[in-house]
Amino acid sequence: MTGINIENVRKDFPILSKQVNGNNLIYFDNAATSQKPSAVIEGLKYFYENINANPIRSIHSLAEESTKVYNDARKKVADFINAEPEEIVFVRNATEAINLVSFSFPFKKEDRISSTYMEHHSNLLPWLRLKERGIGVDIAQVSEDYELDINYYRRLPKNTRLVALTHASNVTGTINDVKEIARLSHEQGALVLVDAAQSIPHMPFDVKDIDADFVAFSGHKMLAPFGIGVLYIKKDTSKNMQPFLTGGEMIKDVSLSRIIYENVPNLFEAGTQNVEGAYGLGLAVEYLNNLGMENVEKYEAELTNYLYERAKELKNVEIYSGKSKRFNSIFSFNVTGLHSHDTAYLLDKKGIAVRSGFHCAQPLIEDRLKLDGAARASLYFYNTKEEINTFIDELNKIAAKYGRQ
Amino acid sequence: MEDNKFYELVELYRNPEHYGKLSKYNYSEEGYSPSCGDKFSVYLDVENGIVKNASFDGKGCVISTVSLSKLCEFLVGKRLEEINSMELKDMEKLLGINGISISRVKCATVGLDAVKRIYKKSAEND
Repeated sequence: MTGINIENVRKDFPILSKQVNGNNLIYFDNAATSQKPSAVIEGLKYFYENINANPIRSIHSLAEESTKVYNDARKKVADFINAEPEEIVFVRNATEAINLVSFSFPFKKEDRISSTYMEHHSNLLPWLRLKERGIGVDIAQVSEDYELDINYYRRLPKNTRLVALTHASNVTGTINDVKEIARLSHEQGALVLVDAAQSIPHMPFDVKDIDADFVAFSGHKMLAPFGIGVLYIKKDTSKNMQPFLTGGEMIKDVSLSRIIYENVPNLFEAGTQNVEGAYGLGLAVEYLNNLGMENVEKYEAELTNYLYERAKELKNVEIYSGKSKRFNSIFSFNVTGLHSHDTAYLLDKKGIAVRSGFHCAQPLIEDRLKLDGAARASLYFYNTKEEINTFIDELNKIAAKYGRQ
Repeated sequence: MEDNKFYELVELYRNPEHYGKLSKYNYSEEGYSPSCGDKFSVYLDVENGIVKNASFDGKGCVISTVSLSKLCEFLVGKRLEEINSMELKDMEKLLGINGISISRVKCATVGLDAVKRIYKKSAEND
């Protein structure tokens, strides 16, 4: 297939040769977290053996090196999404990124925020919580094809200050036209926050082209370690924002009567930072750059098409994803009459790792899809057609044995 | 778990005994297992500390549904306070499974925890 040498790529991920329950691991839970290449795993060891020191404040050589790799990582991440380094705030994950905005942005009482029915809880609960402060929250509907209604964004509710939406759904796979929605929202004076946790790992992402004001994503879904994530804040947008956490490293000058805060991004990075994680994220970005995100996108599109093509053979299986105009490498399903957890359990016995349950998108699954959960296979660029063959064959056997007509 | 054991549990899950709200009950309690998204209610009719009747309704996976069904079955005719000394291994015994995996512990104990809360309430009422 184009651009990706799958045999070489798989050698970069040691865990992929692991056996699970007596079978070769087939890791199809990439939307939950990705596996890590040796470049990242060994990089962390290198960091602790050669660089480790508290960055930013100390001036000795090791600390300078630590500061340097931290700043380099910020630059790499910025370049990766076509942003400026000072627009990149390091956080723990997308959840923390969105919470930061909800706490630090100066929302006023009459303001309204739009979220959607297809959000992960991380882009829903921070906004629902603001209701307690008298801020209105509107929820954009999702159509039968799991699309957002573009007409909703043409006429946003009055006083909408922020439009928060996911770029790609972690359940239906829907890829939203965030560029058009950003354009429409800006026309009406609203800012736009894009949850890109499910998109940035899988496709080229140009924040200037999309023109989002905030973008949140997690490192661990894109080859980096856990505990490092990113909040992009467009330059001028951060001017009026308040600090999120306070403490060390986010100040210029402190006396008991007066505090002068640091500039963004340091303003939002209180306390000793996860330098190891940032360094690892930098290495992950380098790895993805070497593959080429266009190649990743193309290869995953081929895999996804193949999966949906083979899925036509399935009997006693309902499929919930892949109905929208554009969708990513997510396949949500149930064996009819079987709880998703039990389906996942039976697949796991064959070494196939899938997610099951609500996927942290309970309103979508319960209210909109009317389900008590779904199983989900999600692909990444190191997966293969052979793995898809095994998955479909095993799923078919399970559905034949346990599924209801 | 052996395949045929699991198959047997799926059969019980499809037509669970003690399913549906009791027409007469004096205690009810909800139970959740967030990873599966299990949501259940347990209903008990308790007289002088004895469980006269027990039932449950709601939705969940094979393990949680069958464990609730088996627990209701077990409780009928027993003293409610017996629940207090019960733990995961008793639920495993009721299910006929050894060593339930860590991600399914909550499924096996969702009913147990709910009935323990009922016992606590009933003890406070006394």
